[in-house]
Amino acid sequence: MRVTLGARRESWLKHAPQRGGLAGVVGIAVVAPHVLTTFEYRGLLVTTAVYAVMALSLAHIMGQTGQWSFGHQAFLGIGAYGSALASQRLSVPVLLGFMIAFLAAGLSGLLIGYIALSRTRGMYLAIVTVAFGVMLYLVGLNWYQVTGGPQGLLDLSWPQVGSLVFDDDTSYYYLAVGILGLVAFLLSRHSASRRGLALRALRNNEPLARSVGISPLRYYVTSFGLGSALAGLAGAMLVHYLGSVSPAVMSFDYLFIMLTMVILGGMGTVAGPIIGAVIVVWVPALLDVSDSTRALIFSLMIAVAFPLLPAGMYPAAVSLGRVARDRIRVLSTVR
Amino acid sequence: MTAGLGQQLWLGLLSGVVLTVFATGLVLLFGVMRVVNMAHGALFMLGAMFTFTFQARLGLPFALAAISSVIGVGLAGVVLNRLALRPMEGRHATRFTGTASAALLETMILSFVIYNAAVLYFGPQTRSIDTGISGRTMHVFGAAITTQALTLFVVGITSVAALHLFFARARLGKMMRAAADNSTGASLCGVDIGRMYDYAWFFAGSLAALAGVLIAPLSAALPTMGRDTLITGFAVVVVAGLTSFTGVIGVAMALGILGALFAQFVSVYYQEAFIFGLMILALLVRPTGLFGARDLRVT
Repeated sequence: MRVTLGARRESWLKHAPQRGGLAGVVGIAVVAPHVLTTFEYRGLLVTTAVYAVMALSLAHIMGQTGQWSFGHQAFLGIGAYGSALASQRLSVPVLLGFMIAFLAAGLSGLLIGYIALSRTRGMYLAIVTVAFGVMLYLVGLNWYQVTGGPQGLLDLSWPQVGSLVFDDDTSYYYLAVGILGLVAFLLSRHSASRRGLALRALRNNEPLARSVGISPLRYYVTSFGLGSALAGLAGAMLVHYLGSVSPAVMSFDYLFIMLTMVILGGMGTVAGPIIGAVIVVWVPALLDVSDSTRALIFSLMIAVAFPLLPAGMYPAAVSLGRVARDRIRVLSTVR
Repeated sequence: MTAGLGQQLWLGLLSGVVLTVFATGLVLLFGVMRVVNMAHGALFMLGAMFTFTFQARLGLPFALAAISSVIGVGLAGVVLNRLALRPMEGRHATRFTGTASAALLETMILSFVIYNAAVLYFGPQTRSIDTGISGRTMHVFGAAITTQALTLFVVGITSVAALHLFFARARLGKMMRAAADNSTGASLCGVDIGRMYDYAWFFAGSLAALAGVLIAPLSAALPTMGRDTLITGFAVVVVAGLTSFTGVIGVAMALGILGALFAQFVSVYYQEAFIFGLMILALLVRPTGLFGARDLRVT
């Protein structure tokens, strides 16, 4: 016979593992730079945080709305170049440049999203987004008066708030993780909100959702815009850490990285893409192989993971955890 | 490169033929299987790289190397289909709607695998392929037409013509058309749809490889080639209509010529952007393509 503890206590108990897990993750994130004191590892921490924002941006579009964005790297570039140009040509403080990157990429995302999503779906959308990505790359490569051509723009400044300059790995990491935490929090609130619900309804069954009055175009386009804006923010974060921006930030390499993170980690949750970022950054670091071998390994991983674990590793791990917990429960009640 | 309308038109015709071969493979695969093959560019690259490898490492003459490469890539396509796509038939990609989307993402992933493996295996250097075809260069209307280029051009045209004849007359060709039109009805008539899919992949892979073989001697062979060609191929297929087998010829030739003219007289850097822009315009104005079916029901 099960003793009832009262609704509040039970709800607390039910959610305790999740809250504990979250506290643990936050704890690790805060402590990490002091534990991993090697120079390279601290750089990787920054990369992880930035890549996680990238992954969340793509996962928002592909996971929440179910639409393709194979030109996503272009928004990375719009944000990167936007912030770089703002801080270099207009002497705008870098953190303000991050916001400009967010807005610029977001507005372009709204525009492109509207043009593409109002006319195309499915494979046509895939083709259009791929083409758009390549077009923007060509513009970045050739419009050297603005973008600096193949070399791009160099000597980007560090972000700073007053006298606090984020110019080393540890401080930049905390900045990046702070932004990541904010983004993750907002996305999870969004997912739980009415808007998130409407998006998932559209994703699962568009005609049915429309019949209930949910307008596909409005929701798709605004989410596309939000995802693109986040990509722009990630792009700005990336290039101000690297110190320079070049058309490489809009190349297929980054699309591949983002797709890998999202497919491996899972796109339906907030934790999934973050885990994907951790995998993508740390597995090759620990394996210590050449760039091309690493790329091959990752492509093989997603070639296997996609058919087997379509929702990604995080949901698979969660359901594995549930299965284990239920088994233990059953075993412990057997007399 | 001598400037001049004649030369540009010839270059446009050449790239048009290559594009026709390439796009025919795309449209074939889509018609029979409703699969958008994002790995088509990778197969195109393999056609060129294998030809180079057979020629350089095994010492085969160009024609033999080319034929082996084309057939080999065709077979590789069949293997890809059976290994990677067959298990996912009818499946939705993660939570997306539309059964074709799993195949789309899967072929995109496969293209990553192929490109990464190729860079590792072949090395990132650019290679050149010597066809060993020499002869006098003809000058027609200001265009310098080498025998090599002319031969490749004729091979391309003949292949496309032969393919169309195959689909019009040959029994297997008709069976494939039947499978493309109405797979349920065709299978009721005794057509083995699974085998038709194999054949479709064989032809599509071979066509992609053939396109690579045709262009490589004229420019270069490197393990990253084909990405832009893939999008141009999609541009052709999308403008012509994903269900129009014959329309791609006209559109591919037109895009080839227009692209070459644009490169010469406007800007060579933005040539691809121009073609993609045309494609996006066509998609917005007439999503089903110039010659395609009225119905946009292809998610």
